[in-house]
Amino acid sequence: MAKDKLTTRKIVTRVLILTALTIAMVWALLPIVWMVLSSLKTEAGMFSMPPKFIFKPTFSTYAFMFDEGNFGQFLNNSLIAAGSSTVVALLLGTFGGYALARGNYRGKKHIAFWIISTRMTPIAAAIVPLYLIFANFHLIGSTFGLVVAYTTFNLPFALWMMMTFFAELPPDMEHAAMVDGATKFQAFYRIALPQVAPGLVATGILCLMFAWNDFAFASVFTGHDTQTIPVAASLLVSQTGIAWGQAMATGTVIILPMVIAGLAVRKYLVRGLSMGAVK
Amino acid sequence: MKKKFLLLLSCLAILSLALVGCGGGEEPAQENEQQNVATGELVAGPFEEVEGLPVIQAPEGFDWKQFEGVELNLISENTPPSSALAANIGEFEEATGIKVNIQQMDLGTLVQKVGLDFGANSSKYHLVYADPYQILAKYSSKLANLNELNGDPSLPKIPGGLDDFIQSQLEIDGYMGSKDNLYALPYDAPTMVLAYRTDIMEAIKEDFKAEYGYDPTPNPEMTWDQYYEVASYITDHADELDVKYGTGHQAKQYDSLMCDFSNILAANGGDYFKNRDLGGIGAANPGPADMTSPEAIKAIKFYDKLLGVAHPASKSWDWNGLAEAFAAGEVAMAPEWHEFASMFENPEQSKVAGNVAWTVLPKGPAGSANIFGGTGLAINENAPDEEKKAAWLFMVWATSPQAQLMILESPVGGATPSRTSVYELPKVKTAMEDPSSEEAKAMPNLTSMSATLEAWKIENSYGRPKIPMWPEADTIIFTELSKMLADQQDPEATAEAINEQLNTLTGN
Repeated sequence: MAKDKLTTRKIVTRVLILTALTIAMVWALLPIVWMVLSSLKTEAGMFSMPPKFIFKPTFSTYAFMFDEGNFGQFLNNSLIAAGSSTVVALLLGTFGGYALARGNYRGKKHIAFWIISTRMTPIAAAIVPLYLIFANFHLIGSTFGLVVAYTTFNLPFALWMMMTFFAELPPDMEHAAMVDGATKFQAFYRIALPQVAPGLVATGILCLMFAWNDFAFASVFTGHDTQTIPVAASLLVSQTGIAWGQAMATGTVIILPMVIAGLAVRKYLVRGLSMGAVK
Repeated sequence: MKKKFLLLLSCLAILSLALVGCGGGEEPAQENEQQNVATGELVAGPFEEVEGLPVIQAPEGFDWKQFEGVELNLISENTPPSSALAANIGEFEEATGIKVNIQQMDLGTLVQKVGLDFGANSSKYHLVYADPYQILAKYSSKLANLNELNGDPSLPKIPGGLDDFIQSQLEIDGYMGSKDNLYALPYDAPTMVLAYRTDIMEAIKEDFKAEYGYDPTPNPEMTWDQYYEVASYITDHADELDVKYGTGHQAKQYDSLMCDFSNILAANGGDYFKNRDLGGIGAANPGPADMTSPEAIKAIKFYDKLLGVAHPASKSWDWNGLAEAFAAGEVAMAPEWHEFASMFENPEQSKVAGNVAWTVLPKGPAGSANIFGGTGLAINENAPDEEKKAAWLFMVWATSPQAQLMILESPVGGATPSRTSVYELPKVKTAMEDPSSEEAKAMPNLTSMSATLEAWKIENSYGRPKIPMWPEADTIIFTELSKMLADQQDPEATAEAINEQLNTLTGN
């Protein structure tokens, strides 16, 4: 009798969990599925009632965006700005993070906190002084300016993350390598770095996501030829209407690379996120 | 150790200041060797002429290519005229050798970018889409005085002169505080008028007339009370009609709500401030608020009542949402910006194409009030002289009757001109008078123009207060109205709240 009760309770619990998971999945995925499907419909089909889930897909919106619009250029700008700032932040963040984790000097903790505190500044507060500095250096409207802006926000994050990953590694192996004749850089490069590879990937993905999805910096610092995809998406809302088809297609293009990147490095991402600061 | 640390900090601070300083300064003016030698008679410029329109002219000997190589940045809201200009910029660039980058965005981002550019005393944007309330009223000191450029004997003049602009629009778009300086030239002219479904009016005409004793079809003599009756009637009989509600509104907690309400406020003889002369050239200090006047309270009460019979989604619609609902056949009547006419007449975007007519907004005790939402084009005062002059050439071209006609006819544009001479052209007149004509099909925005021209008459036009703190005032107004529409406060409390906050904002 008691066993039966236990089994029934288990079944009910499972059903409840499955129901909750299904609701959560539908809640999270339905808008995305809707967006992707809408991007493959004609404008009329997009608003037909009842909505059609089986239809003949058309790529006309994508073709229009790439052939007649400047979408290729926007995509290129996004890739350059997000990619470059991620590479720079990872490179400097890895060296800096290692130095902070392994270095032994006075005020180390304060320096580490000071670095991450710059990341606590709201973007809105940083935009005005950055604009004044960029205007002085004629960086407004340039992709380089955008890379600098992203790096100012990504670097402290990358540095802090990498510092945490390195700090979690026992230093004994590096010491052993140095006893065997390795230089400090070799100990870092050959011993420590491979061990934090998942953390490096996780940090890279998070930096990339910040830069790729950013609108605040891009809307202010980009010019006519340097606009990124999120800025291009905002252009689809005009004074006299919304280009729904292009908005759906742009949304799809914005999320697609991040989804692919996330799936490709899923294993590292989970390991990375669970080994470091973001637990 | 401490000393060393302080020394290091000081060095870093000095280095940062030096870096900021050394990069700075104005961009070196691109001094052009070629001096302007133009004087005397005005002769036609290298642009296509249109019979019946004033010609773009410059003094004899003027070299239209003297600014060749200069690159200008125009920052604009994402609007049809700017899209049309961008699509046709080749004509100007070819004639002058000046490169123009047209950057479009939503108005909020534009205001932020322009504010930053002006704040940094920079001239990244030489040409500015100067919204009268968000840019002109706030930053007029940062805009070039166009009277000086227009009066410069060595430069081209405004074709047709200032008299060719719609005068009420020139006042709102061009001046701030006084008429001493001209800061912008009218560029686009959206105005709120009433769109309605002719098929629905035809369907209810006889029965409604029998019950209420008047024709329900909206017309310039219709009052807001009658509008309410017609809207309620259609909603009550929606089952028998091809529509869901009698009226729809742009009552989202946003600027659109203030615009929608202002029509009713002004029609009742009310206004936001006691000073009633703020809608034209504007003022730095508006004086005390007037939202607790009997007229204002009556207007607020009526608006609350009207929204009670409107499409329930009205409270989540801005002008785009309302336009889409009207085009989808959800509502029979909608106070809407007249430039949505092309969307309503496009069968690909609208289920009601061919069944739409326009008239001025209904009357209140003080007449009909149709809020104006047009914008001017201005030049950044911080720009070096050379670039300012190059920008002036662009202004002359972009606001010329020819360019305004091009914008009207452009498939990516379709905005209505701010020049009276364009409305005198036979093809434009035909399109306005006969919505079924080929001309109207080619320029579908003109189907709302008869009503709009009526709305532009001084007695029917309403300009919201043009004061530097208008963006904040706007937020106060739509926030409090929105609370009322959400049943969080009654109309009297709404009036009190708006009045008090406006006075606090303006220091009165």
